[in-house]
Amino acid sequence: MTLLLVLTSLILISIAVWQLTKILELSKPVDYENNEIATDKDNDMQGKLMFLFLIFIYGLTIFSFFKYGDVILPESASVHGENYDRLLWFSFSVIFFVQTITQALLHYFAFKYRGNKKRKALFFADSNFLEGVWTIIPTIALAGLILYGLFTWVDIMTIEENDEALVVELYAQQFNWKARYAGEDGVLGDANVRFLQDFDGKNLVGIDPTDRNGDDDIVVQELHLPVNREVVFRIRSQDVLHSAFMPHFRAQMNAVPGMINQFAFIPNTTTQEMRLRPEIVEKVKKINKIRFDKSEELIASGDFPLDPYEFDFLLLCNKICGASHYNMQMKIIVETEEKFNKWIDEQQTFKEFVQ
Amino acid sequence: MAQKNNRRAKIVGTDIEVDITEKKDVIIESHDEDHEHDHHHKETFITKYIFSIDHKMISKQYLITGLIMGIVGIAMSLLFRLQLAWPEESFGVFDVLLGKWATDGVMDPNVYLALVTIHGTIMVFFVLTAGLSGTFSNLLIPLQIGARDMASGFLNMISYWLFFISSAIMIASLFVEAGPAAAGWTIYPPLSALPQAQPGSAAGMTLWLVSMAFFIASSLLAALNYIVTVLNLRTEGMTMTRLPLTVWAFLVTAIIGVVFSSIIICRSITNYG
Repeated sequence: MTLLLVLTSLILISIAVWQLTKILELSKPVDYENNEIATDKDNDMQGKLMFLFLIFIYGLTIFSFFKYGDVILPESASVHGENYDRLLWFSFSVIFFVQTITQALLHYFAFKYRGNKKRKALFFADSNFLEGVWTIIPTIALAGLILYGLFTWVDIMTIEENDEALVVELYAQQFNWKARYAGEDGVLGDANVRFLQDFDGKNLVGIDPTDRNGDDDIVVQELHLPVNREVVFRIRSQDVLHSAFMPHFRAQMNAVPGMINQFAFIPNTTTQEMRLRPEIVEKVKKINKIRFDKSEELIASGDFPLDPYEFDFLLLCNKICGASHYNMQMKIIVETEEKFNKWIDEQQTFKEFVQ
Repeated sequence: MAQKNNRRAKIVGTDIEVDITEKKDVIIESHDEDHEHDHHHKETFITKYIFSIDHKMISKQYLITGLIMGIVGIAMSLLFRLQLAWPEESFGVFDVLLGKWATDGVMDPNVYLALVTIHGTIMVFFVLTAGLSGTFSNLLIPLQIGARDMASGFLNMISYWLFFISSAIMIASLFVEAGPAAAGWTIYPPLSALPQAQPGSAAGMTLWLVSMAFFIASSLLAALNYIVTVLNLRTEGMTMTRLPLTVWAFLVTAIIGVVFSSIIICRSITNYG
């Protein structure tokens, strides 16, 4: 009720102010100097402001590069990611170059040809040659970018049959990820949401108990991957749309209920190696500085301090999926083949787990 | 009354001469009609400002409604960005505006998504589509092609009022028990279709879809009107190739609007089912 009263009085007050200004304006004598037709002085001012705006946006761009340049993702940690980044940087450079020039010309001409009664505009109907030039050049440039993109896309998305590849299922549910390894046979057992309730809810990803391929499957909540070996992900969802996003590996694929989507990549940097990279060390230092300052405040107010940050690869959800979407993630650890084999030997298979 | 004089005029800056005989007839005739019009129909407040069929007034109606929706949309983005910049921090403004959805002034995650969703919806549909296209197409198409008004003023009026109903329902959806639609403005099912998936997919989502159905009807009527006006009501000498680029842009936007409206109306109905 109070809120309603406050809102009503606010609206009434603003109407009163509006009406008052209107009356004031009407009661003033007519000002012929200040009518709404632009004079040479106005045009001169507008033209100069245009040029100042150009300087402002370029200054802002350069400042942002220096100040926030380090918040972009670190170099890719997968093999295809290098092609992906090359495409991204190539497109970015072309667009940035063209944008810089056209924006400068646009604002400079607005300044140079600012309105002036003494100057007469040239009537120029059209030139087929000029129109041809500014149609053909962008067409060629854009077609080139698109073709380059398509080739890269096909390259990344083609999954070749490979017996050596590690097959991992990513299973999305509100609001966590689970991973399932195909086990020694290299074949994932059939699965369906109808089996989720089996074995007192221990069948975490709904493996079909009658399918023998599923017996040696391993279900985990922390993803371990061997370095330099192809991993084929089969991506499923239990409930709503999710998206498996692994930014450090430049990988993303939707998780759609009722469908199995695929993505494959070869991780080429271990978590350890990544942590030692200078840009990561720098980044971690920056984050920990913020956490440290925040912790001091927390301790002063009698709370617990924050844990220091350590770099880890992450699997995130990248499609709004409900209340805790923001926190739907799984840690990914990339390690040497020996460490990976040792880890996977310690995990229980599906058969062992449900017994 | 109409006089028949053969008159020719030169277009400034060119050597093109045009026959303006007929043109003069049109001007004289229309002037006479206007004259009679003044005597027989007195415009009331309701026909002039509310249920107006004048393209300029309708354009202002679109502008004002679009602006109000824009203010609501921007206010929402300020709220959820406050939450994004200072997570878990308590804000008095959340307490006042969100009430039970912000216990102790900390925004509930569902409400965060709801604000993002309705902000997106308002900005894309109510500001960019209706606010911009409704305002500028209505104002500029008749002026720039030399038509006296849109092809159908009545259809134009219906189009605006459907848009108004749609806006009212969208705003009303903010006040339902479980909160407004929260599945992102793209409203992907099953998240948007099942109330079990998130609270916003209950009554809030239903209202969202009803509002969108009205919105689509409105934009379809408007788009058909723009297309017919541009194709049929151009003044003499205003060929398609002489149309200002602005009008070309409005025409293409309207054609795209007609094409996509049938698709999204199906989508909003099937999503509801």
